[in-house]
Amino acid sequence: MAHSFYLGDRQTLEQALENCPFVQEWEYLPEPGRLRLNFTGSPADSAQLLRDLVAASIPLTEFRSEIDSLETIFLQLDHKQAN
Amino acid sequence: MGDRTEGLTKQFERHIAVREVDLQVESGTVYGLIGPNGAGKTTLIRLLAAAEEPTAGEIQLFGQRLRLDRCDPWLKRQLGYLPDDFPVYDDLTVWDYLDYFARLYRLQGKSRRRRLNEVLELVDLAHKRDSFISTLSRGMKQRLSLARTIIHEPWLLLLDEPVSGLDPIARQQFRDIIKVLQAAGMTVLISSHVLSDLAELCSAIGIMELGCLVESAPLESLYQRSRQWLILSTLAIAKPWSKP
Repeated sequence: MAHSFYLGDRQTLEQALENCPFVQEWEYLPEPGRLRLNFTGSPADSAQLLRDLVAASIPLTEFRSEIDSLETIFLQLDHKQAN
Repeated sequence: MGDRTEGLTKQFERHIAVREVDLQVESGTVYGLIGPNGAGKTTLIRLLAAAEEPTAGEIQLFGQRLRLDRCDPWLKRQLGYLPDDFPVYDDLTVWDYLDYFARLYRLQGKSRRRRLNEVLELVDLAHKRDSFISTLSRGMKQRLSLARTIIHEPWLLLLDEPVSGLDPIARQQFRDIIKVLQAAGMTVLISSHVLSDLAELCSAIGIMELGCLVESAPLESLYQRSRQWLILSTLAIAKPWSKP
């Protein structure tokens, strides 16, 4: 049986992200309710975003930061092939 | 004092495999070399191992210039080189194989036996000392090759694709040994396509492309230039799809 998935309050969430100057872009991940944000702020700025989301009653179950892996950094370089 | 190269170049007929490489590896660190196939990683490592004569440029190890034909034998003894395709002798036992190389390095009597026992413990092959190499798994053979590489207690270890073809458990065992060697003060230069392994081991990374060292930086500095992501999950409600 097919399912539809709904976020807590998608419009409120997107508004909060748009209001944050450190969120450059975001994408919804395949798992329901999951997003990935490109964030340019400091740890204090991410703490403020977390406070804002909680204050906006977004039902968060996960909030964590991660950086590109060495593999991603390597793949981002402009590669020339030798063979 | 670190190990460094200046303008290191290797040309094979019309092909320049390594082009004016200035490399600096700090003593006691693990340096990772990455790059596409054919980028020149293996040739650079062979130059550092004194297995190739540079066309131009020089290599300074421990404050001395490394030369293929006329450098101090002490200097070459400080090198441990594990090529990516080094053969093991299947019809020897683990002990005899290591004993053979230990004798080549002129390790004598009790100190030779002590050293063999030490490296067998380190690479977790003490229980296989009397086994024929043909009976070992690929991971065990690679750990045995590493034991052979360090039998003479070198200070600079050059490892060319040492974990290629190993399963995750064997790779983890190999990483653990590298960490022990680094803790003992060895400098390690390692090339690999398994970048997650290098991220765990290395304090600095060099990136090669078309024979050139296009990047050489502490791992921390590479990460500082990378993008930061925030992962958010919100409570999601699954609702059965209903037909109109």
